[in-house]
Amino acid sequence: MEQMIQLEGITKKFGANLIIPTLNLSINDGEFLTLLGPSGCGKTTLLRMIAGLETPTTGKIILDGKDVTHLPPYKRDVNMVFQNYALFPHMNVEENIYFGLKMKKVPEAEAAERVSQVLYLTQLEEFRERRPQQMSGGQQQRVAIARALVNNPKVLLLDEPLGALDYQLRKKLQLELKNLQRSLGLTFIYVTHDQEEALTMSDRIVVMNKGVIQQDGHPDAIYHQPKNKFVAKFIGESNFFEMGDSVYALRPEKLNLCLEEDCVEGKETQHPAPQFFGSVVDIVFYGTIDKVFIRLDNSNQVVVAYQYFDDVKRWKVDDRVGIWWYERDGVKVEQ
Amino acid sequence: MKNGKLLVAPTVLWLCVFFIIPMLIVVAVSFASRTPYGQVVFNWTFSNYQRFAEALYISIFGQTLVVAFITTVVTILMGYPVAWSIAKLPKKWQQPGLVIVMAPFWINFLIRSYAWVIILRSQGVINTILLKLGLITTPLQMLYNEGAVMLGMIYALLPFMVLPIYVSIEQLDRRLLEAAADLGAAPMTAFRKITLPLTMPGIAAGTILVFISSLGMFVVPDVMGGAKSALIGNLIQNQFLSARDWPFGSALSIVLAVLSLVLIMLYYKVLNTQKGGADDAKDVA
Repeated sequence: MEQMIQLEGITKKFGANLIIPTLNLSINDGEFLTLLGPSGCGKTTLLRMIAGLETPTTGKIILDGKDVTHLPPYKRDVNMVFQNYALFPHMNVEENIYFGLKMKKVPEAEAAERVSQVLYLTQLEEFRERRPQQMSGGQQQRVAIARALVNNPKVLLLDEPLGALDYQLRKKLQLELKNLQRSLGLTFIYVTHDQEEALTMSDRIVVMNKGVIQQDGHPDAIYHQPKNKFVAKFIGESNFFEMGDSVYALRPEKLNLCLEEDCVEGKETQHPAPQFFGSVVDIVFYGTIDKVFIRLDNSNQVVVAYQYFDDVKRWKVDDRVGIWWYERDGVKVEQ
Repeated sequence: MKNGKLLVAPTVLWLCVFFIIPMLIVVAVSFASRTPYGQVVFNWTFSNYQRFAEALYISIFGQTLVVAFITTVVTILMGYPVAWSIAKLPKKWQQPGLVIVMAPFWINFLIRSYAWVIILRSQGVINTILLKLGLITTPLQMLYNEGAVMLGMIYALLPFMVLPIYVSIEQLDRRLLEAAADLGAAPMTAFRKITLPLTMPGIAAGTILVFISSLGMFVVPDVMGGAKSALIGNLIQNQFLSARDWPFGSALSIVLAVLSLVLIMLYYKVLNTQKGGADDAKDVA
């Protein structure tokens, strides 16, 4: 696959603060790449450097084969969807979308054609004349996307674009965005701290912490083979078990429980022998599942397992349990 | 009194005592006439307003408008960059910056006007330096002309332009400028298309403050303009203090007030059509 963006040896300091120690990353053409991490991990800074709104302290940014490291934002072929949309309040929807085309002096006929196209694409045709303040958050979000897309950027940068919306709308727009990206074949770089969003939308996820890439891979790999404790903890829920010198991460859905008296050492079981024993300390209802919290005997650590609505055995607080799993489900992680 | 209407009583009372009643007195006096010794006789006449139609007064009015207009334009051109640079200072330097703009208010305005006289007059600071340097042989006449009046007005009113513009620049969302840059607008274009239209309310507020103040200004023309340049403010002042013709002074004041009101309304109308009713839109949302 052709590379669209290469970040080579990027570092970024704000004053004395080192936000990003040396970072290398390539992004392929047509890829939906998500930068995922807690706030302050440098993901937005990275995005802003690609947009040209920040300059890296050292390193190079190559866009489609051209070094753009020191090019100002208005000379770069990328467009950004801002976190709070940053729509121009003194212009209506249509004028907002026209803005970029006017700046690039696109001939009027072509501009009109492109504007109607994105208005159709983002289902904003009936709102042409509205001002941003007269629209809901979801609609404003669409305007922000339309305003960026109309310029046919080589890369679309999205900075937590759904962060300000409610849960239902967010779900809906996630799908819309993903479909849009797929049908246009455009490169998307998407910044979010929402791991669920990252997992459902991305072709590839780059997990960052403190300016350092923790793991870079397909969502499936990120979820099922986390490389280290940070990734395992940040994406989904994880339990950690120390066995010898190694630490194993286990998803709650991969943990199985048995009544202690049925699976103590020496008892014949139809599953692998439990590695740990403990007592149930709490059970919390979560809709599709119940979370069962178990305090381990030897370490006082609390781990969590799921109990499904159709499970025959219903656990109660103070039940003595053994915890077992299939060997293939335990992921050895770096500290 | 169920709806708490009584609560507005202090405001109404205040407005009546300090604003409405004095205003009505001025209106009443403007329809009176005076005795040879300057006493006011209420005989309800239009003659004060008719007198205003004389060419002399019309030309004074016209000149006042020209001076006020130029003062306003120059304070916008000078005030905007000042406000801009204060708003762009690091947060902790903004407050001191504003204090410096307002510092002249701590000194009486009359004294500040005389300070300009000391700087500009024939044996003043500037002329002395230029003469000593041998750049000129005879002192420059910098005082007691229209230029001096303009200078004094601009000096006096500049802070009234800077402050409202500063507020509107300070409130401007910086991300809008980032968005404009991202969409291909070079800094100057972004300023023209985004910053300027969005800081228009500040310019409008400053314009009104400066324009109205300069219409009624009489200290500056008096001290720095000499006898040659009379503006409407001086004319009114003269009617009350020297000519002892209160009715004519009152009539002039009323005409000035009405004129200001009309101009402000026109100004807002033009501003609103330019914005395409952006404020109305805000109300809906």
